[in-house]
Amino acid sequence: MERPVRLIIGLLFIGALVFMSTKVYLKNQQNIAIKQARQMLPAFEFYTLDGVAFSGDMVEQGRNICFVYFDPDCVYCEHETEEIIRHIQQFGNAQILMVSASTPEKIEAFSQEYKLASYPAIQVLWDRKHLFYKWFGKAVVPSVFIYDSQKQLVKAYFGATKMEAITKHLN
Amino acid sequence: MHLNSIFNQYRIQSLLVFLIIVSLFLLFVSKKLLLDDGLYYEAFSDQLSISQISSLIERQNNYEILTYTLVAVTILVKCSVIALILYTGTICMGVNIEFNKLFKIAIISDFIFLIPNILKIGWFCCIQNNYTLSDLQFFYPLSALNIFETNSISQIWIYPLQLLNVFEVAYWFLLAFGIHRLIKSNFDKSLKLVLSSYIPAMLLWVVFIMFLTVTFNPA
Repeated sequence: MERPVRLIIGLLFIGALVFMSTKVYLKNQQNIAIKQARQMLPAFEFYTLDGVAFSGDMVEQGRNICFVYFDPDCVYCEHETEEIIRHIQQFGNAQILMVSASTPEKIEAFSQEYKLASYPAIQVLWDRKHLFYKWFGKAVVPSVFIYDSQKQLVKAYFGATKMEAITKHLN
Repeated sequence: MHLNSIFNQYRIQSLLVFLIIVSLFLLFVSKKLLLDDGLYYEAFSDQLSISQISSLIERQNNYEILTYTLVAVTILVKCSVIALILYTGTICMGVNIEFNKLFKIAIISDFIFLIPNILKIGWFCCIQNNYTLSDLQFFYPLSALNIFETNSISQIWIYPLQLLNVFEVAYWFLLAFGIHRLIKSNFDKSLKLVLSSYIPAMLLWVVFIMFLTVTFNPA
């Protein structure tokens, strides 16, 4: 093979390697930063289904906060929601913020199906700008992030989680 | 049996089928001997209820055939891709070898990776009887990962450190030996061909896996 062709192949390889390594490094740094930042309640901004902004400042003081990231089309989220409702008493005075990045129509239908509006402890929120990841990092559905009354992260669960595991972190 | 006679005596199809059968057999044996339901209950009981773990196990059992199929397909694809990479290397170095012969070398060399699987079964059956699901997941004999505590290193380093092992290095030499036997030149030239084609491709692959890890499985 001609020398210039070999040179081009070599350069393409080095270019691809440098490009991907840089991406890995930057992404990893970003993940580390998010993981550190989420140790305290992030300055998030989601929206209620009426379109009103709901930010970290609007969280009630002195209460545990339990974020449940969900998707109305996910069967595990349906099961998780059923379980939350069934064990709502065990959540004590915790504020449950159920956040989804789905469409407001689907979130509304989900909320109505489980009559979430009838539970004062539950607030359904819309992640309109798909920024949950930016504040909380790993965003699989369902995920649960539990903050204590000092707004410090106590525990994060990814995937389906039994209620006992969640409520034991709520004082 | 000498590697030369293996190379001459058996057809590509026979070698490939044999490699796949042995790999699947080892997978079957390791599942039967090492994995029991108790490991799952122990690993997930903090987060999942008993019924959730049971359905997880049941789902996994339902997909068992798919797991075996995927392993077989992976072996086929891996050997093909490595043959293709070596073929590109031969073109770059001006060496004339048919793709089929390189494919055969890739298949024969891949047998080396059966050894860590056998060692893993032996280790957990005979030496470390008390183990967890993550012990099984992260164990790779004679790899750089053994130097570190898996809990103390970032997830993105798990795969590269697992890949850096004695069998991987032996694999490079087996590939080089196969090529050396074909082109009948000195071994150094064959080794150079492997190092200049397979190693860069492997590096790219490792970085790609690291990218997938940081993207889809951040901490």
